Amino acid sequence: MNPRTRMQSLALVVLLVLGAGGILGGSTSAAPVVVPGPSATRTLVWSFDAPDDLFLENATLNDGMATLPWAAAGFAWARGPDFLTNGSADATVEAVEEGLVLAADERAYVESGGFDVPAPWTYENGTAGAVTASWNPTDRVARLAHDSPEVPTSPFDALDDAVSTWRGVSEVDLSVVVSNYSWQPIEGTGMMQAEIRLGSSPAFSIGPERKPTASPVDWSGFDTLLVWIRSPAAPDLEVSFNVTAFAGPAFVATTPIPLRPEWQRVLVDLDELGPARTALTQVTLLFTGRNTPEDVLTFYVDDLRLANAKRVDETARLSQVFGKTKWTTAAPGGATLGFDYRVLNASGADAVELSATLSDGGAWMAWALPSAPSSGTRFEREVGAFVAAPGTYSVFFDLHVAVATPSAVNVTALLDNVSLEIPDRRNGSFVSSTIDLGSLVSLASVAWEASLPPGTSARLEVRMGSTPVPDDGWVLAVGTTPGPLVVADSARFVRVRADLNTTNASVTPLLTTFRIEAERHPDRGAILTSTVSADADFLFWRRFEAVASTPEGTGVAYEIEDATGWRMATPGGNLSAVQGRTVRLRATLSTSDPLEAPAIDEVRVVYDYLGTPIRLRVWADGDLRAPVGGAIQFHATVLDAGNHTSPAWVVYWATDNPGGHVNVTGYFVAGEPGVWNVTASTPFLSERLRVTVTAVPFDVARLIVNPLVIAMAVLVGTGYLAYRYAGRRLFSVEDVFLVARDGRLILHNTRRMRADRDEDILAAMLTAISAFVRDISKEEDGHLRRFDFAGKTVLVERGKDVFVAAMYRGRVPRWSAKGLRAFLTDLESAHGAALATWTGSPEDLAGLKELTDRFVAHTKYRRMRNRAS
Amino acid sequence: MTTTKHLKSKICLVGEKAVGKTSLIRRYVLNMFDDHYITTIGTKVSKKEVRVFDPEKDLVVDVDMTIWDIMGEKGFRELLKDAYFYGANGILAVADLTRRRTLDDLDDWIDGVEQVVGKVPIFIAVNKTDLSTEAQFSELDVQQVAKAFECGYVITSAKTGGSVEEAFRRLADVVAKAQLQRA
Repeated sequence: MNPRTRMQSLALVVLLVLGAGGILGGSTSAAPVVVPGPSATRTLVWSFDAPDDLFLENATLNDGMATLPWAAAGFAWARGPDFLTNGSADATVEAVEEGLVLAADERAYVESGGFDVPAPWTYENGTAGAVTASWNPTDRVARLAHDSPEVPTSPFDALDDAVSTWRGVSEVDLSVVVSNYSWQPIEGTGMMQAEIRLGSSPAFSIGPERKPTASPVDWSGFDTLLVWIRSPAAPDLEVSFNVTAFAGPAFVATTPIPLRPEWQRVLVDLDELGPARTALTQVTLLFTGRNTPEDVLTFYVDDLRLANAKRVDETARLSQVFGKTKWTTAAPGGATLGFDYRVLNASGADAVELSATLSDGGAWMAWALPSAPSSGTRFEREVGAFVAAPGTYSVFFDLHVAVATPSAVNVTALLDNVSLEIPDRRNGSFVSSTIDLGSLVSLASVAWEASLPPGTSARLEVRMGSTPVPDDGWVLAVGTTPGPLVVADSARFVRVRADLNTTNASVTPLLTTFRIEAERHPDRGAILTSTVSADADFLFWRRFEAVASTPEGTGVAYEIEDATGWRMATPGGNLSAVQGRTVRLRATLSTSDPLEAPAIDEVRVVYDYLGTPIRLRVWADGDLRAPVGGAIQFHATVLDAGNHTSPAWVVYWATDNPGGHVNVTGYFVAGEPGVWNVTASTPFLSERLRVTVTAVPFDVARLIVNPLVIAMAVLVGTGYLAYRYAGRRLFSVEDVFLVARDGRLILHNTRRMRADRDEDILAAMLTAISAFVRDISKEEDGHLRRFDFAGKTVLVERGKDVFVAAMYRGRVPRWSAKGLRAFLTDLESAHGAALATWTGSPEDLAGLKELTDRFVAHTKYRRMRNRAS
Repeated sequence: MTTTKHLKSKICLVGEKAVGKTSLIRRYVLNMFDDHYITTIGTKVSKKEVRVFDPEKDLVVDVDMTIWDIMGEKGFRELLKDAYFYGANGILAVADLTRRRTLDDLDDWIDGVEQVVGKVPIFIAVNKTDLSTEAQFSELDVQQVAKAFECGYVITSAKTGGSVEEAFRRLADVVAKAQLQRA
């Protein structure tokens, strides 16, 4: 990368970083506005309509004014603890997360619901004592249960040799093959295998039958047949089992019992075969099935026994009676009955019913509870309406178990944590402490919010004032309906009282929020402008002005920062001491009254600048009269609209007085008598004064008749004519320019009274033209050596570091160029080193003037004695 | 006690064609030569006397600035740069706010001068700020270029006169200091 390009890239990065950091500043936004003023002044105006270029610290802009902002100064209690942190409440009032409520004061109407002790519960077993109610001291729960073992059985047929007693009986397309099977019997050494061959039938209803050779069966002493059966497993197969027989001529059968595809003990109710069971023939173990996917199904049967089933059908009860003396609400929430229950097991029973009941002695509410085994479950029901009236109530739990089986039966239910909660809420109040808002504040709103269900009410009192202790100046506001309260415009101290009431002991009002919205002014703020610079024609800062309103107790202090630091500025005050043309302002607003604030409408800074020259003031020392040859010193000052002047404004002097002249300092020397003008001028301005030149008195008549005077006049006339002739024939050097190679004029010497053109420009242009001529004729190695213009001849001679141009009047002889070269040679011999290193200061080349005088004063240059060879 | 010194300085005004070099000079000094000199020989010389003050040395310097307005044709620059740039004490490089290329080309102009006279004080004037609605580059771009040349810059309007005096005055200030330092 080009080093300069790299540098530019680096500069770009630096500028971006500086710009991002705001270091460059110099925002181009509209603030402040520059307003041109009279007398070469400008006014910088900050009007505070927008925050551009302003730095606001605890200050704000409002309606084009800079002022102190309003700051929030209120508070809000939106949680119950917020209230109690700032005051105290009756015991009947409770703080909850949502707000203040009346405490429920819930009373345990059901005693010892946790069964830590058995009393006062009543435990009643079933009528025969088979179902029991009891207290478990280990687990501290109430227990309702039935537990009975299997009854004794009598063997009927062990089926260790089945084929000797049983046979298969076939139907069309079906057959039953009975055989002995000895692998893993349920009981004894063997069991019966019954293969049912289905043929093409998808259903069957056949089974082993006792052989006709076997004796009739007498099952009259038993009501239950117990048999082990293993049913086959197949998709969609449904199989049931029952027993058929003939009681005499009558065909009897039991109800089919569904079989599962596993070993199972099947209990057959023999009472279904009728009471005449002393001589049953053709007893058949009948399997009925459908959806058979296979053509052969195999059943295994073992251990036929007879028994008499046990019979249970009774209820155990757990109960408690309690009294209630007051009315309570029938509304939701008025009362809740709750308890935990768990059914540990319920196997073997024909029926199990668990229930809970609440009764007032006449009416009742009852709930059936699931009797399947379960883990602990909490039960809760709203019973407010049922227990609203005073009276005597009872709560009881029943377990009813029905059993008709010889098998073991086990049913156990546990109860715990029985409760009946009826809230009892009483009126109460909250009173706050005196809340100090820190200072007087302007009150925007005071409001409260509450939820008031039917039967409840609330009343809120707010007292406010400006003294810590309430006095006559305090204002009271009372509200019975949630919402805003009408209070004072301002206050500092606040007290709040809330009364919560209810006519229903079960419901409560809820005071959710108390809120004060207020605001006040901060005691101090400041506005800082960005740095601004006056234009380059700046002269000095003149005046600071500000338009602001400052109510009692408020104030604004202004400062201005210049290169030396911050200094105070007073509206209308002088800023002449401010240094430099770059400043910024700071206004500090303050108030001792939080409800009042100062406001600044506009800030102005006036400065003077150097304007366009519009006036030329000319005066003279003394009278405007002088005798011929006398002198008057004139003065001139160029002024702009603000009477400012500048050393750069040059005044040129001139006079029309023949024979008189005025130099660059305004020094006038009188010429011919008369009234003449002395003119001071600048490029655009001109002023003149009339000056009277008086003649020296003499006797003209005597002079005219004096022969000597006449002779002198003839002589002068002849001399003048000779002079004019010589002037045409002879020549003279009028100007000599010694010019550096770069075009800067080192020295100009002239015989004329004053230059009539700017010699610096002339020298530079001469250099330019010379260079131009040289460059356009490089091939010829040409230099500009001589040219004529306006009847004058210019000879140019070039040296090592300088060149000399001599301007001649008249006919210039050839040897003049030689003289010019000699002059240049002498010049370089005497001042060559100084000329080579000349920096631009004429003072560096002392002695040059004398040397050029030698050339200018004579038509022919005479070389220096110690000239270089 | 304040000392007064007199200096003569040669300032080259460079920049592309029609950026407003001649107008800047016309606004700044009272011309003594017609502008057709430029089209004839490629430059025109004007003069301005400026007084600068060096508070550190308590020195007042009256500077006679001859301002060489160089024709903005590149051909002229190559042909006459040795002659016209020779001995320049400072450069006022002028760009046109409404033409981005004139800012980019300042590189070549300043290089052209520095090839002849070496490092001299430079000041950049971005002219035609009165046409700011047609601006083709920003002050940030000017800052980049000024940073690269380690020089100052000012945004001018020869039409309204805005900051023209400042441009020449600031250049005179740095040129005078450089010349005095060399002395």
